[in-house]
Amino acid sequence: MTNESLRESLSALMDDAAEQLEVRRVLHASEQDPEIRRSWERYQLARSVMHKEPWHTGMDLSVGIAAALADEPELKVASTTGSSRWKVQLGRVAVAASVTVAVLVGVRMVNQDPAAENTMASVERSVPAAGIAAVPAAPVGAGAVLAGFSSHADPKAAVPNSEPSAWQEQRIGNYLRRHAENNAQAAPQLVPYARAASLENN
Amino acid sequence: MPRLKRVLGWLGVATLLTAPPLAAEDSSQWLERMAQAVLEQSYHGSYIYERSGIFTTQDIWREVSVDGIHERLLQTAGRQQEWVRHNGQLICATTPPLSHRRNPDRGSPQIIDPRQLAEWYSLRTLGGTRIASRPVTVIAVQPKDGFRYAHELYIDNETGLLLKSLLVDDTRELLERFQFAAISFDKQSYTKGLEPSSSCFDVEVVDVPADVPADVDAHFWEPAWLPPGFTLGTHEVQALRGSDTFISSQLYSDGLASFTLFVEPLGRDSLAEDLRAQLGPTVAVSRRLMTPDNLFLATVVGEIPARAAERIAESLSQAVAGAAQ
Repeated sequence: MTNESLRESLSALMDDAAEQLEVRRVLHASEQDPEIRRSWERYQLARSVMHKEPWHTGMDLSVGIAAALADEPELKVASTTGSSRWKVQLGRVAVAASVTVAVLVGVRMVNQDPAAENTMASVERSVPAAGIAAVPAAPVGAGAVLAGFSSHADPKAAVPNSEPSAWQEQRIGNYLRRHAENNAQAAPQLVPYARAASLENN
Repeated sequence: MPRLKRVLGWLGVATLLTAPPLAAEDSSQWLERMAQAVLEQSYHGSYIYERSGIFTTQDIWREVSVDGIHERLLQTAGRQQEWVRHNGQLICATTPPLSHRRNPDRGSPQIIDPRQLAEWYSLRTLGGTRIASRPVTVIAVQPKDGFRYAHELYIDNETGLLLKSLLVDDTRELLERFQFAAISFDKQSYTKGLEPSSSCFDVEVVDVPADVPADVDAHFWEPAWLPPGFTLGTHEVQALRGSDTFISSQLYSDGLASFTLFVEPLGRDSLAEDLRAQLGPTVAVSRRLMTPDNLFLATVVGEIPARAAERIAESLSQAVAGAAQ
């Protein structure tokens, strides 16, 4: 792959228009070539400035994208440990578990051991939310997905002791849909509609 | 040069004098306009919706007429999917929900009340920009505690419609983006897309059977703790199609954010654990509840931070444990 076409892929990636294959190529190249990596960082900075979106600044997307790509099916046979493998494959398991429930894209589930985690205490410790515009961007952890979001990895998540049952996965999917529909019916607002619609999306 | 300095100085003083008191007042007026626009505006538009793992584009046709609000949504990328609603109630969809109870006594739609919101959020006007080629005003809705998320609302200057909305958590991560790409208020354009296609299937309306077990029907599950400002909206018992399970569902809202508390009895073959799931802005937290003679599963689902959902669910199991003693 020439430098020129790499740069094109890179710019497509910044526009969220890159094909998955391109993303892999850019990632691979950026590992090999520090110059490509620097270009990427410059592009990211430029994009953040253009979009005036403070939560993107200083965030190394490559780590998150690599993680997201690592979740692709071809790697799923690799032996990984319970927790991460579970999160990755959840959607597929859910489909296998029930034909009536469509896959929920992007859902993450963790089993929680109440003994291992004192949620009441963590609530008391938590500080009120900070201002949107005034506070400098906080560093964002790995686990970003292609759409440019950081996924919601919770650092204080309990260590899962087992995987949720197929029954419970199906239930959670069901509840998510019902809540979305309850919400959509509570007011004729578009955002709840779009949220409900996104659950049917696959 | 000294003159320029003086002008700048005066500008600064003028800004100081006018900006702060106007900001809150002004932003609640914008929210009032936004709430009103939902009930009045007819349009045809295209928008995107984005959350972790999902990026969708949809078209909407919407007409407000004497017999209510008619809406049709159509997904414009990937699989063709549509949804038709009348006054918010789903009439038909490409993949209708498994079962659905149409609630005739649902009452008037939930309207945003800026005065109520101002108790739990601080409102601020951030400025103006353009969305879908139209001038908009940006309102920041910032929570005063850690039990709800921040919103950034982009409101159309002319009509008051919400043209863009961002949901942000307290680590300033973007959880959700909704944004119009184009919108038209031309009557010809919004009426022509309202008719459902042949692949829009009617939503099956399920009535709650008369023989709802007493322990489900009678039971209102009262959490010992709710995030301040959240009040109960609807409470209903829903049946699952193809099973004899009855699920109690209670919808709570602070006027902007909401969550549903689901409680259902656990059968012997229903393996359930305490669990947390995250889907974009929506969290689901499950806790098992032990009553003297039964086992239940309580699940809090909503667009609230995980710690709030966990605390609600924990407070419910403590309340149940307390009652059992």
